Amino acid sequence: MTTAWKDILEIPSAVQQSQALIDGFDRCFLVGFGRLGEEHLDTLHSLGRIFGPTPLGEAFAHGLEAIERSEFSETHFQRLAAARAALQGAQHDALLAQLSQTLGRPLHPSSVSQAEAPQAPVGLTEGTRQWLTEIALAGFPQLTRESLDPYLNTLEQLQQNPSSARLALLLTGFLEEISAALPIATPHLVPLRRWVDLWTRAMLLAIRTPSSPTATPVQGSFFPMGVDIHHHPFAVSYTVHGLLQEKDTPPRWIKTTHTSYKVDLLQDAETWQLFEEDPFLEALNAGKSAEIKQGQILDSGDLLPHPDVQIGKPYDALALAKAHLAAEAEKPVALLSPSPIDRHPVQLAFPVWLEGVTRKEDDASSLQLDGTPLRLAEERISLLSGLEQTDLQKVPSMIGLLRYDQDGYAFQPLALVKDAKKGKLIFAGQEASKQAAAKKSKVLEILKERSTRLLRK
Amino acid sequence: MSTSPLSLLRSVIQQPNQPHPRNVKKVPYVELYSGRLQGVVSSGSDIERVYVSFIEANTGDYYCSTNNNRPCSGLGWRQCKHIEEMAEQAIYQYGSLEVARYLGAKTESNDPSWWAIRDALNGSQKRIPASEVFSRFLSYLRFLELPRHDGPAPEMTWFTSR
Repeated sequence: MTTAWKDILEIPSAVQQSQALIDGFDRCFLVGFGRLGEEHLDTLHSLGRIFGPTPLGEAFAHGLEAIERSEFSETHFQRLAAARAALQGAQHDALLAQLSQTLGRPLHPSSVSQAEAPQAPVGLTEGTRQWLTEIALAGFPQLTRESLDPYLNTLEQLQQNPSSARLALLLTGFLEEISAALPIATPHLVPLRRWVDLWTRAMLLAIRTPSSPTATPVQGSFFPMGVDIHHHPFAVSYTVHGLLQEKDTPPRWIKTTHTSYKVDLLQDAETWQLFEEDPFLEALNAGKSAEIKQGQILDSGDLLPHPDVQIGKPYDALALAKAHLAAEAEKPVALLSPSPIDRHPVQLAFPVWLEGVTRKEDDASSLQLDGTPLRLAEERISLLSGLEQTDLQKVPSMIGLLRYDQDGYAFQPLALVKDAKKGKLIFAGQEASKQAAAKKSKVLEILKERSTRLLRK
Repeated sequence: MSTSPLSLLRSVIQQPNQPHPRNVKKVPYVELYSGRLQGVVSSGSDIERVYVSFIEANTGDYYCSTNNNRPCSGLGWRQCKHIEEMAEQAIYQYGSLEVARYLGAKTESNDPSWWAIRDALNGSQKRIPASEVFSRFLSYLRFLELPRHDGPAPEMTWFTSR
């Protein structure tokens, strides 16, 4: 049975309701927690009531009372962050549940490993929470250079510590973004939802580095379906997405991610030279499968780095997409859910195959699926993907990820069908392995030369 | 009350364009920071030497010295060629309007030349220790030495600058 796109893309009412609460919470970051008015406190109290007598509810209420008495200890702000994250986690779960139900995709539960993750030095995480608290007290529009600079030394140390890699990557981008926005002339130009997201995320990771999801051994054929690329001025990250076919089990949608720091000037194809050779990128470029002889996969669908891999045989990506990713697929791909701490609407990346897509005449970014509109997530398409604007505006068949943001669902393409008859697809990141091997870097080479000459002194 | 553009309400937003790549060989570092246009300029004659140059916003005061704090011999009653090279690359990277705006130089033109910006500022020599700017440059270079992170990095999902 197929469900109409209209029903698939309908936003669950619980998600819409919690949106208003989150909006209210976020407005506190405009005035700053040091100067909250009645209406802000009312919003926070109603947020507290939602958590009621749960442990989080009590801690939240306690923290809120303290803030009303102008006691601004960072522990209270940890609770605020946890409450906001819990709401967004619930939003994520509601969206994922509805999608897996309407599209008939089995959803694998995920469990978290018992093993404790390595932790960053306490001084660094404490310093980070303290700084985040000061940001919250001041409110974003009131930030100045003086609010950022004292933290830079701590951040530099976090960047060098592998156990705080995720926190450091996040804060490096966040600081750079605030920095570029200074001086903030008009509060309504603050990307409030986004900045409070980043603040919340940083606070959670600064409490402790989360344990990773449970890992299990894996063996099978991996069929790459495209690369999702993320970057801020000082880091770049890529995730190869694809189907994993193991013996005797339904195919799973899995991914593998690598991240590197960079400098802001590195932004074109040269960026790929920051990374080591990657058999998954090579396989994608060659249009062949990657045979995983021995590897470890997390419950979240993340393949752990450096599995034993050989390049396999050519595969028919189009046929695989139709069989496993279409709305009416007979053998729908099994989905893996993120670790509880990573659940946030932004992380929703639901693989789908779309065909017969038309565009609105006056707005090529509004995809039409049997009359149901779906926004093209242009803000998620990296220039490094190699996907061409002209193709994005007209291709009727695509493989990609359903994404979610404040204004509803959006579609991020991973592969575009250039020629349906010949089965020719253009994948995001298809040229990456070639560009990584090009070895005629300009910016990187010169800066590295400067670096060896000057840094060692 | 004015409202925010819809895209600003999202968690993931389109980021502004990144700086235009400059000539890194000549000017390995340049930034508009802390009320100054400042940067590091490679010496034309000695590969081991770099110059640290700056121009202060509004006053137009300037200075140039080696990274070991020896004053640049090209400095006199006017700016040296290192400052000029740095400014040219800054204009290339940020655009001349942005450079003029940041420095508080009032010019008539929509695309002011460096000469026009400099004349509108009209400053004099003012010594600052090269280390202030030089350590910013070293922090910048350090990004290329930091460990890579293999494995999930869900936080990067928020970032897709162009």
